Amino acid sequence: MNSSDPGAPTGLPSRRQFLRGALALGLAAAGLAAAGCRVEPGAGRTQTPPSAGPRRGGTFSGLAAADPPSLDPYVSGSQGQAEFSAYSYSRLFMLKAGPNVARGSLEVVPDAAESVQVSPDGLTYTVRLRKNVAFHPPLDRAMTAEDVVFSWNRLTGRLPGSTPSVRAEDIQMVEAVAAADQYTVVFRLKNPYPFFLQKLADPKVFFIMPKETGTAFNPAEKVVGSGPWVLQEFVPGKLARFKRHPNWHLGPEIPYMDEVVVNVVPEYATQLSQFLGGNLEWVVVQGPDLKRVVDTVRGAQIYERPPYPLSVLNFSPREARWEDQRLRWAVSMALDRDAMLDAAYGLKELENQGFKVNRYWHTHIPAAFSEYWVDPKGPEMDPEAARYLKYNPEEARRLVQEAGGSFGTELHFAAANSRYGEPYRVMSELIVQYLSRVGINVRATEEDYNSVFIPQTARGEFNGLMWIPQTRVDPFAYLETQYLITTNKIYGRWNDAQLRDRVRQIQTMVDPDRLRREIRGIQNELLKKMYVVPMPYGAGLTFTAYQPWVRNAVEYQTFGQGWPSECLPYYWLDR
Amino acid sequence: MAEQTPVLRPARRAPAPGWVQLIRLIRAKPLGTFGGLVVAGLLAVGLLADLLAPYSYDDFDPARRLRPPTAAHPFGTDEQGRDVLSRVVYGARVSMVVAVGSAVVATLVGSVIGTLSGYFGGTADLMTQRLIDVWLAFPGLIFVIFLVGVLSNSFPVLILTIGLLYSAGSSRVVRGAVMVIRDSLYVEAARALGARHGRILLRHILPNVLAVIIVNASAQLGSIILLESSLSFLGFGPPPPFPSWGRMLSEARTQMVYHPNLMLFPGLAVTLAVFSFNMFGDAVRDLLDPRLRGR
Amino acid sequence: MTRYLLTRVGLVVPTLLGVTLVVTVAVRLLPGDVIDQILGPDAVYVNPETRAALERRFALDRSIFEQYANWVIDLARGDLGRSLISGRPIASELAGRIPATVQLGTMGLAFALAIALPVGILSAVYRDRPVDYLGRSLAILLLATPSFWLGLLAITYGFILFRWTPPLRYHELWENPGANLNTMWIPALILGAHVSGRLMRLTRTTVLEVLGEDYVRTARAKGLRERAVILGHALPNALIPVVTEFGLQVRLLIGGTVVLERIFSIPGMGNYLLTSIQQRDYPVVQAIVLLTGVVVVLSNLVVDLLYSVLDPRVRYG
Repeated sequence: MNSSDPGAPTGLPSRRQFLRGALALGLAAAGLAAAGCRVEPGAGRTQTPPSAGPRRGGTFSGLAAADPPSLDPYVSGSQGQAEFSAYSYSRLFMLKAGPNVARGSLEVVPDAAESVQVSPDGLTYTVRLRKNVAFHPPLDRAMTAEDVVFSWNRLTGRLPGSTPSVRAEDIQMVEAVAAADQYTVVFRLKNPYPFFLQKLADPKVFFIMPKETGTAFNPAEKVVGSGPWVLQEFVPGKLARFKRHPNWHLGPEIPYMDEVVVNVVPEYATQLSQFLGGNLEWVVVQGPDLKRVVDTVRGAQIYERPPYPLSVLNFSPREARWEDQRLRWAVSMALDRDAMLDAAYGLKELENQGFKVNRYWHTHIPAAFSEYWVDPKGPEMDPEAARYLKYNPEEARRLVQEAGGSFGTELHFAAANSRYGEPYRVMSELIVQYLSRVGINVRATEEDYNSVFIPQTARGEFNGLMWIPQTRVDPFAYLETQYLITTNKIYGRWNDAQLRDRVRQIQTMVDPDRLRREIRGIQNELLKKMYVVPMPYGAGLTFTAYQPWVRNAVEYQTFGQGWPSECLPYYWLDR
Repeated sequence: MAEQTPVLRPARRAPAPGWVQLIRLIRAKPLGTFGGLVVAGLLAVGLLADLLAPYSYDDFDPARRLRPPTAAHPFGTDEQGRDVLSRVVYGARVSMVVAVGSAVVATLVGSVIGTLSGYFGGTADLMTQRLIDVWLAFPGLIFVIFLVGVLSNSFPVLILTIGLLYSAGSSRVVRGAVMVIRDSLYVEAARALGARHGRILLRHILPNVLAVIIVNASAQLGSIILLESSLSFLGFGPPPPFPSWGRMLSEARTQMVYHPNLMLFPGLAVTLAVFSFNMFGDAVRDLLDPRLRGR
Repeated sequence: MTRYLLTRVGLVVPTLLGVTLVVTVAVRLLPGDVIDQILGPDAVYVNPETRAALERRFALDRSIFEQYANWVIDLARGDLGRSLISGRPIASELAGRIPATVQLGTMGLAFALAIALPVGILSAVYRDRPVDYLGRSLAILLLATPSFWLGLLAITYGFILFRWTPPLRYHELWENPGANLNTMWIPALILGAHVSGRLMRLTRTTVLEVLGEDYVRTARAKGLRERAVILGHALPNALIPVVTEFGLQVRLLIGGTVVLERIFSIPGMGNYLLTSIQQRDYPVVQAIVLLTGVVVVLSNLVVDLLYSVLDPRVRYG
């Protein structure tokens, strides 16, 4: 069941999911929004209330679509790698989870760290470590600052014989990391970064590894971390088995469950069948199957995932025509975002089945960041800016004619074998058709993800248009990618000095309120300039379903890949 | 059959009129005829898709998405509101183009290689066959994915790639047949009489392996259609917006349970096409292969 | 004949070297490399030093031929190398996956023969009668239906209609035969049904040919019963082209199992190969193609020899 959001800011109405009689449990679920919800037949029948209090023990059957790239967390910065390594390796911080935490919240709590002090200029972060962070067997000691510095050196390739990890790219604002004493680490930054703690909390960035890594054991073949789950068995293509870490520094109460098994199930239809058959504890459900899940599994708990990631449509850096703002506006206004959401995520059907749906529109910040995203359909957004996201084919056609008349171009997008899934594909085809209706005659150029889309198109080697999801873990990272990085051809060509300065200013802000105001404020300008067109992929509704006996599942959810250590330890099995 | 016993035969009758022969043929080979009709039908549909399809294949309208089969949309509509019947019709064009194109490439390349290799034999044959071994060592699907990855998934590349894939098998079959004929008595006689290789190839070898070539080609067509649908399913097939049946099957996965028509009709189309090509090919072989006529 | 035999055997190793050289070059021709895969689309900074360091680590900065030569040398020492991405030894990864693919293929071929032989013989014996039409139609129908379609239908409707799911995890045959067969029988059947179409028609044709041969007529004239004629004479000769087909089918099997492996969560080689190609994990691709190459080359050798032994019409000059 989706947790209601008592603390949700405006723009993100709380939402209620329908199931037969599932109850929210524990501390959770303040008022359920009642308006507009039709009742499923049989909803009056109540589910057995949870047995009092969390119960220890049990095995949790999870799933993954593929193996992680490696057992060594530094090899890849992919989401698969991040989520897998988050079971066994700790970070300094992590995202906060809990019944009162708003969906998409970026609030950070200490993981291996105990506390942090930030200098007023935002350039020095002094992190105090906990003294009880215990490494997994065979190491029998606590983590010290030396381990953190070692990990840093390994990450950035400073160790003799090591190569820098691609993850180091994400944290390149750090100039130096040094141990002040046995349990204190000092990070010195080249320039301030408003969400630095979130960066340290991101499983795609910095895991702490013991200093024996590479010498006493090979991290590609053995996992020795300090996270809540100890890797027991890894069979490539089949499964990974973890046991709870009895000395976890956030324990010893949690993790409640004894064991987690991550099963590799590549095909979605099979994943769904396994969940419906009771063999899996959770599954990501696509809209069209939601009703089937709810009907088949009595008491299934449904969590609505935050609208993420952002996706953007980019203009070819080789073509001068896109410098005409009117064309860029036309492209954006030619698209019916609500219809695209409906087609890609089946929202109309969900409505007909009695679920309440929200049609979020991303701005240049994804709607998931509820504190920072301004709803273009809401009152806070400047109507002069919001109109560029509204469906207006007549105006788009007019702009195209004004800017020189109809023309032909291409849209490059990743083929169906990419990891983006069905909604992306459906929207790709719709984009082609919508644009053609306003005089921009687009030829669909579907590209192999691995061969062409990533190595060439994503680096700017394309003509016409391309569109791509963008995953960044904090709102500023999006601004940075789009307006500060000059080495990327796609974004570097927009030489807007005034905008760049404005973003640089945001970078230096330390006061969280001011930061929030500024990020909210800049979205108007970004829409008016429209260097990059925000797209609705990622803003649709996707769900995670849990078996009825998995308690705390819906209350403890975080955004990002840290779920294995931020949420899973709090789950318990009521059977 | 009694053929050696001398019998007084009546004077030869005039041959039966054409349409009588046709009817006899149909009655003798009902499945093959059915297959042939469907094949002809599919080719026609492919050619005339623009005239036959009630809607364009990319005529989308989210307002009428996911409709069940009705009079206006006999096969229903997909998640973008496009008419499934029209897309199946255009899909026929895509499948026919790829299938026929690939089969032509496979037949040409395979026949040339197989004939030369089988006829001349010796070291050339040995080496060629080892090269074919190399070729064949690649798992088929992977071979195509390779080439499509390097080049692109445009139609010419697909046709060339699939054609090359099948030409290896073709060449083996042709080679086998050529070797048998090469050693037959009357080819040996022709050679003894001093006929040149070219003449022997054209006059004696080719006409006799023609049957094998045709049969093989017709057998491959069905397999090619299946391969193309598997490729499309995995995401390597013809690019959008052209509908190909395999692609439609892949896209129907999400809606499969509540809208089975999306899965059903493209799947039936593939099955029907492959079935018909095979039946037709069987009938062709039965008719052309002299060894089978007697019984 | 012996000279031919020796030549063929002698050529096995060069053929394999040829195969592996071709794939080594081919896979490096694919645009993008493993570093691009690791960097992904979000690598905005793309520090050139990072890239250079990674290239050195993966030995991608050396020439193709140098990379190939090193690979062959390692191979001669029995070392298949390590995956570029996971860092784990390839030999152990393959060892974990080969049994599944081999089992799937074998079970598939067994199903195929079990369907194709009887149907083919019956079709030939009762040629042009209803049994023939029925048998052929059935076989072609099986051949014509896309295997991935059947697989998806099986998974989805298997649950809806029968509440059946395949076992969550793949179990090895020796570990848990019940669970293993429960996972494998449907994909093997789908695979086998597909192959049986080809084999059935081949069987039918060959049996027809054989039944028209002189020596069969002689046997009949001698008074042998029809069944003895078929089993004693027609069947063995019918097997010849069927055996030939096997060689071709092996190769098709490895490619054809990819989709079924994905759908039924079978950790086999097909999916592994596809993933490695997509990730540009060169050593893995080379190792798998080497393996396939060995199987195909050897089976072709065996088939060719069998063919020449069984059918004296074919001579090798």
